[in-house]
Amino acid sequence: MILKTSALAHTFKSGRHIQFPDFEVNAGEKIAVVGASGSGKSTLLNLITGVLPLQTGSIQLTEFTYHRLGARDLDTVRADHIGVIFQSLNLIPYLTALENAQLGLQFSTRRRSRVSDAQRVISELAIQLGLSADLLGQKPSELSIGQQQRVAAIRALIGKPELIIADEPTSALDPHATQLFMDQLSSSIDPETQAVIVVSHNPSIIPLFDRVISIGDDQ
Amino acid sequence: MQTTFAYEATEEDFIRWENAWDRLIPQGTYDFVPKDFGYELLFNPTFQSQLDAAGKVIDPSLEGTTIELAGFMVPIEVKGDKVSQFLLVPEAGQCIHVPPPPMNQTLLVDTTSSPTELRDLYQPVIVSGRLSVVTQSFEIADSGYSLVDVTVTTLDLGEDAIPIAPGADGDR
Amino acid sequence: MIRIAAASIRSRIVPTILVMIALTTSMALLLAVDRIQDATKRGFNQSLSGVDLVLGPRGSGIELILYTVFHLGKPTNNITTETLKDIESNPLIEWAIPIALGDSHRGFRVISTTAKYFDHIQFGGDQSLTFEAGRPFSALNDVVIGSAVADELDYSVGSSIFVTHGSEALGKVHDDFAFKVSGILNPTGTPTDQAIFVSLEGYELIHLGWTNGSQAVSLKNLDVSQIPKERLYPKTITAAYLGLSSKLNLFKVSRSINEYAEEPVNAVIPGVALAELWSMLGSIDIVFRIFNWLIIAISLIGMVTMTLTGLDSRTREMTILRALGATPANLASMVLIETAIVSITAVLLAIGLVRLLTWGAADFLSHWAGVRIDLTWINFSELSTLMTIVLAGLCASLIPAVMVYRRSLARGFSH
Repeated sequence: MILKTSALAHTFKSGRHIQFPDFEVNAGEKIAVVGASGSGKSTLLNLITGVLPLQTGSIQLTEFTYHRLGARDLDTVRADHIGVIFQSLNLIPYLTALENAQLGLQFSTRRRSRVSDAQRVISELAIQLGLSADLLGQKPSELSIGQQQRVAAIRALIGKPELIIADEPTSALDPHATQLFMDQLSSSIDPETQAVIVVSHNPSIIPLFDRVISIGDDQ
Repeated sequence: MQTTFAYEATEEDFIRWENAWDRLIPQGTYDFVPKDFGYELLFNPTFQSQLDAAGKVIDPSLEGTTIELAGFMVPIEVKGDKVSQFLLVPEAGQCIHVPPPPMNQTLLVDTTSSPTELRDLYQPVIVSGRLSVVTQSFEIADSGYSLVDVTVTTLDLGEDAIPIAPGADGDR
Repeated sequence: MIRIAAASIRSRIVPTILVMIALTTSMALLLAVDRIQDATKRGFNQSLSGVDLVLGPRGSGIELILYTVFHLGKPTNNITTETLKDIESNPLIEWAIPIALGDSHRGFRVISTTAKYFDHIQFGGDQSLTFEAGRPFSALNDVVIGSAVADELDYSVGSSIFVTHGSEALGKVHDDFAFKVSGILNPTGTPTDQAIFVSLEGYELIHLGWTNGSQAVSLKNLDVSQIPKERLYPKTITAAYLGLSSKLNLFKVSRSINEYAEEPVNAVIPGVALAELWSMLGSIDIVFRIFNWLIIAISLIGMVTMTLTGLDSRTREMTILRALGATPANLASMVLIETAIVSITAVLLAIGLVRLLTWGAADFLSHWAGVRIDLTWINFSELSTLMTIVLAGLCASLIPAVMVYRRSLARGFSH
C-alpha cells in the first residue's frame, strides 16, 4: 500500500466545503484524478503532499499517518517518499537541468543513500524518458516545454520515492507528445515499489491509466 | 581646494620672473653698495638705514606697463572663498624672520573685477597685469606698486622644474 | 545548499555587486581611517623625544609644536636670544638648543641650530640621531641633511647647495654663499628625515645683507672668515628646545618661563600639546565616525532591501523547493547563506582595499609629515569590527528569511 485516504474533507475560510472520495493506491498502479476546474484537485494534492494541514479524515502514506505527524516530519516524508511534477515552471532557472534533477535528492537522506552515482542514474532516467543526455548541461530557458517536463520527471523519480504525483504534466503538450510522455513516465517507474497519480482535466489520457478518481460535483 | 588649472613652469620662466622682480627696483638704487667691503659695513647702522631707504624707491616710469611675476599671495580682502585684493610678495613665510619685503618688492594686486580663488598662503601663483604706482599702508607691509587688469594662475612647481644654479649640486 | 545559494546570487549578480561595492567601500573606509589615524598619532607622538620643554613666543602651544617639530604651519613670531640666555641661566635647565626657521631648499625645511642638536634631540622614545655618513657641522658653510633629502635629491657628503629665502621652493636664492653637506643622518621615520640643518651663524650670515627685506648685498666678494663668530650670533630665533636636570621640575620651570616679564614667551610641554591636538581632533573624528557607521548601516539596509525585493520573484522557486521537501527553515537558511556569502566576500574585499588605501596613504604621510605607517593585513580588533558588521547583516536579513519562512508555509499547488 502506498497511499490510502479515508473520509478526507476540507473546509475553506470562505466556508466552501469539499468532500473527497476514499481511495487507495498500490505499487505499480497508475491513477488518474479528474475533475473540472476548481473542483478541488489542487486541494487534494496539497493534502496528499502534506502541504495543507489535515482538518478531518486520514491520509496514510506507506507507514506514515499524516495527522500524527508534525509539520517538520511531514516535510521529511514528502522529501523521502513523494516526487512532484508541476504543470509548468518546474525548474529553477539559474540551475542547469542536471542540477535541477539532482535537487530531488537535496532534502532526502533516504533517497540520497539509494543513489551512489547521481550522474549515472540521471543519465539512465534521461534515456528512459527519451531526453537526450547532452541537454543536461543546459539551463531551463534553453529547453523546450517537453524537455523541461522530462527533467522534472527525472527529479521526481531519482532515488525512487514511492509516490509520483504529476499535476497536469502534459497540458502544454500536443496529443502525440502527451501520449509519448505518459508512456515514458509509466515505464520509468518501478512496478514493485512505486505508483503514479496524475491529475488532469484532459479526458483523452484516461485510457492510459488503471483507475480513475473523480473529484467534484460529478463524483 | 584647488580646482583651477596650474601652470607648469620652465627654467626660462623662472629667470624671466626673477628679472621682473628686479625690474621693479629702479636702476642704480643699490649703487651705493661698494664692490669690495669688509664685513663691518654690514653691521653699520648708517648703511642699514641706507638699505631701508633703498627698499622704498619706486620707479614711476613703470606706470602703465604690463608685467608678469611669480610670487605668493597675502590676502587682504576676502569674500567667501574669493579674494578681491591681495599683496604679492616674492617669498612665502613672511614677516617672521628677517624683515618683510621692501616696498619695491611688494605689489598690491586688485582683483575686484574678477575675484580669484583663495589659495594656500604657500601656494605660488603667477600674476600678470598692468602696473600702477601708488602708496598705501597695510598692517603687514607697505606697498608701492599696484597691479590692475590682473590674471592669476596657480604655479605648479614640478619636481624637475626648479632649475639648478651653476656651481651647486642643487637649488635654483 | 551553498552551491545553490551561489548560483542564486550569480543570477542576480548586478544588484549584488552594487550592494557589495557599497558594503566593501564603507567597511574599508572605516578601517583605513582608523589605521591611518592610529599610525599618524603614534608617528607624531614619537617624532620627538628627550625634549622636556619647547620655548617659543607666546601663542598656541599646539601651533608651536607643529611648526617646530613637524614643520607644519609657519611661525608667526620670534623670541630674542637674550631672553633665551636669561632663561637658560635657570639651574634647573640642563641644556638649551635654539632653533631658527624660515628658509628652505627645494621644498625641504632648513633648520638653523647648534651642533648640540644632534646630541640631545631624540625620537621614538629613546633613539638618538645617528649619522649614516659624515659629521655634524663645524665650519660656517657646513650643512647636515636628513635621509629623505639625501635620497630624493641624490646628495652625498660634499654636495654643495644654495638655500632659498622663504619656506617654499620658489623664492630668492641665497646664491652668494654655497653650503656643503657635511653629514647625512640615518633614517628616523620622523620629520627629521626631511630636514636640512645649518648652524646659527651660517644662517645669520646669509641674511646679513637682507636688512631691508631683500637681497641688497652679495657675499661673493666678502671674505667671510674674517667675521668674528660672535657677530654672527643671531639676535632672534624661532624657538628653543630645553632639557631639564630633573623632570620633576617640569611645571616649576614652565611656570617661571610663562611668567617671564621681559618678553612674551611660552614654555610648552610637547606631550601635552600633542594630547591637546588629538583631543581637539577627536571631536571632529567622532562626527566622521558616526557618518561612517551610518554609511555602513545604509549599505546593510541596501543588502536587505535587495533580498526583500528579490523574494517576490522567487516565490516559484520556493514552491518548487517546498514540494521537494525543503522545510521552511531550509528556505530561510538559504536566504541567510546568501547574505553570508555577500557579506563575507565584502569583508575579504574590504581587507584587500584597506591594504591598498593604507599603502597609498603611507607614501603621502611619510612625505608630508615624515610619519611611518604600519602595513599589516588585519589585526584582531579590526577583524572583530568586521565580523560585527557581518553579524549585523545576518540579523538584518532575518527579516526576509522569516518572511520566506512564513510565506512558504502556505505554498502549495494552485490552479
